[in-house]
Amino acid sequence: MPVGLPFYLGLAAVLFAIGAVGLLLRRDALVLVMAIELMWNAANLALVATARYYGDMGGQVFAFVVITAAAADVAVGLALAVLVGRARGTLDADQLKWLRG
Amino acid sequence: MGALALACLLLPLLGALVLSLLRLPRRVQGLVGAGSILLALIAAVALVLSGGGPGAYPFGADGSLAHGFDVPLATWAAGGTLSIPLGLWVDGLSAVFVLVITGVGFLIHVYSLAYMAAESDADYGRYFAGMNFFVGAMLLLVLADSFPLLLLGWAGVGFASYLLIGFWHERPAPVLAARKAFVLNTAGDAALVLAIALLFAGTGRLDFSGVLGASGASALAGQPGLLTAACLLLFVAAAAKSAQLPLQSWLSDAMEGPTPVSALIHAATMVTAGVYLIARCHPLFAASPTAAGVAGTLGALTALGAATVGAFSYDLKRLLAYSTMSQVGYMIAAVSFGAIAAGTSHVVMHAFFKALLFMAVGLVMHATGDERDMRRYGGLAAELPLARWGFLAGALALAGIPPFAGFWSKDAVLGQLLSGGHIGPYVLLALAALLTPFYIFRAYYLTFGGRYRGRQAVHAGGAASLRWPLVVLAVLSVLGGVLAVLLQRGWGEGLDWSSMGISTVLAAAGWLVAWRLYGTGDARADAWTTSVLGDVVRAEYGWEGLWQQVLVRPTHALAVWLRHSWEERAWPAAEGGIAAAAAALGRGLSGWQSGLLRRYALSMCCGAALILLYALVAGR
Repeated sequence: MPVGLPFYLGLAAVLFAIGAVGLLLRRDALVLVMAIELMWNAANLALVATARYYGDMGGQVFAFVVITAAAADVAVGLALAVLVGRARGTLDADQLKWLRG
Repeated sequence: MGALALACLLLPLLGALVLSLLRLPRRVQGLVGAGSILLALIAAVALVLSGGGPGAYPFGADGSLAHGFDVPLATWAAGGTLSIPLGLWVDGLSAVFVLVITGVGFLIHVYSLAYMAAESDADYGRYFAGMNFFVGAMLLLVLADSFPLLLLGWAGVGFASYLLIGFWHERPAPVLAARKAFVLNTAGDAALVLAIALLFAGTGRLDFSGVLGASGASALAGQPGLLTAACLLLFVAAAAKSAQLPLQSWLSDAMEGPTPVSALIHAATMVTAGVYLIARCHPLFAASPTAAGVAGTLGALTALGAATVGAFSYDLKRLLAYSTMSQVGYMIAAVSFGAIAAGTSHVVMHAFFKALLFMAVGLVMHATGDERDMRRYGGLAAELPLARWGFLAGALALAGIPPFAGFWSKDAVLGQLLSGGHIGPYVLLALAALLTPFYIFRAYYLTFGGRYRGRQAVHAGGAASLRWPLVVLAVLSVLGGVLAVLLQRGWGEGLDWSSMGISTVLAAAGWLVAWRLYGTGDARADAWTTSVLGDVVRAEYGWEGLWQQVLVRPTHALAVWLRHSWEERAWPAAEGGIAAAAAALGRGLSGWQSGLLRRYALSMCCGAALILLYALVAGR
């Protein structure tokens, strides 16, 4: 059968889920950033696929915005990770708990 | 004319304000205290004269208060169906009461100038402030043109009574008496509020012309149950204020206050507030024979019962208190059954002779070192001639001996009841008319006849200001019958010659018995009062004990139990519990703030999932 919208959305959902699970289960800060990036891209895929399916250019234009946002997010996240790693000597998320109330 | 009415009302209140706020020398305090009442009296007289005299506002032919004039002052909260007019209403009834209040009030204030001279400057001022406030509140009560304003005056006199009964507040007895009076009065206040609410529900109006006039009558004609209930509640309120059954027990204890207070508040004016209320609302009582019957019968019962207790009393002031209860019973019975002129004339006469009696007793007390027990009196006629003759004049008037004042009004009451067909109350009041001369002449002979039985030396003497009010009241007690007859004539109730014979016989018989027993002043004649029956009667037939058992003890036990279980146990536990719960909640919630990144991420994911779910589900 032709590859329709549901497949693309399903793929996007799976990618998003993998990213979410990774965010929840991995400890290394860099891996967490990677997981977040994966989630961004899953959303992107969903956007573009839907836009192509319905013939609406708005979705594809918005995908560019999302790419930019993701890039900004990665930049900030990596910068934070570098700084924290230098300051505390570790990137293990379980050990970064100075925000404890 | 409206200005005169307003001035009459406001002057005593102004006096009270000045006396309570400023620290003045004693003479100025007395001047302000008595002077404000004098000015109010002058205003009242001017008011009545400018209206053409009290005969100019007679009752209408149908018994309604057809002639009077309204002095509208303001309207409070006029919104939708509720409109509370504030104004003064001057007609025959209110004019008579105003004259009595300011006239007798002024005499009592003058008497108090010297009587209360032993007090400190601050207490002297406090006394006159309280008395002035009372007069102002009582004037408001009788001059109001709507029920809410009347209620304001009503509550005001109750409060003034509390202040003045408990005047010597360092002693426990006056404080308890004041508290008791206030509690019983408050029961009456509650009843009055309910009655006003019922009348408003029935007629939609709160002013007298609306409720008591033709429109109110037609509105209430179709609601007999509501009308009767309202009238019964009005009677309860009147009973509380006028010390009638079943709310009468505060008056005898109220004698703990200074004697002029007893004279003004508990003889001449406040206890007649209930009479005024029923007289004012007499169209309502006329339309509800059930309520009128209940009120009149209870009034008559009180008259007789109080007279019997008075006959056994040793304490002279308490005896006069029971006498007041008894005479007010006459008034209540009269106005309940529609004999407004008779009842009102008795109010006026009673004010004269009862105030006179209290003043005379005050002189006796001053001379014997504040002694009140008649067993320690005797033979005071020589030392205190003014007190003796004053008391005699008052006694003759009270007993209803013609041609003294009390005869004309008391006989009018009896005659009206008889001709109105109210035989039961008539019999009760006639029996009371037999007992009244007995107890008052018993008091007279025991006090002024025979030989002195007391321990302290008797020192008579006193300022002139103690004397001439007594003289004025004595003259009024002797000659005042003219006023009573004029009032009755003017208001359409003629003299009833047939009942006069019976009244005279009753009065003479009572006096004769007293004279035979006590005429020589020998105290041994009083031995019959020391029996067990005497103790029972003096305890008001166990009424006080009944109240204690039924009301006071359970309430007290409830209060103690509440304090024990609630204030000392449950409430601290509840407070502690709430605090502990809050702390526990805080501790529990703070577990979430672990600082762990992954846990925060988990929370965010869960939250996002929930929102998505909601969006999915709610979108359907």
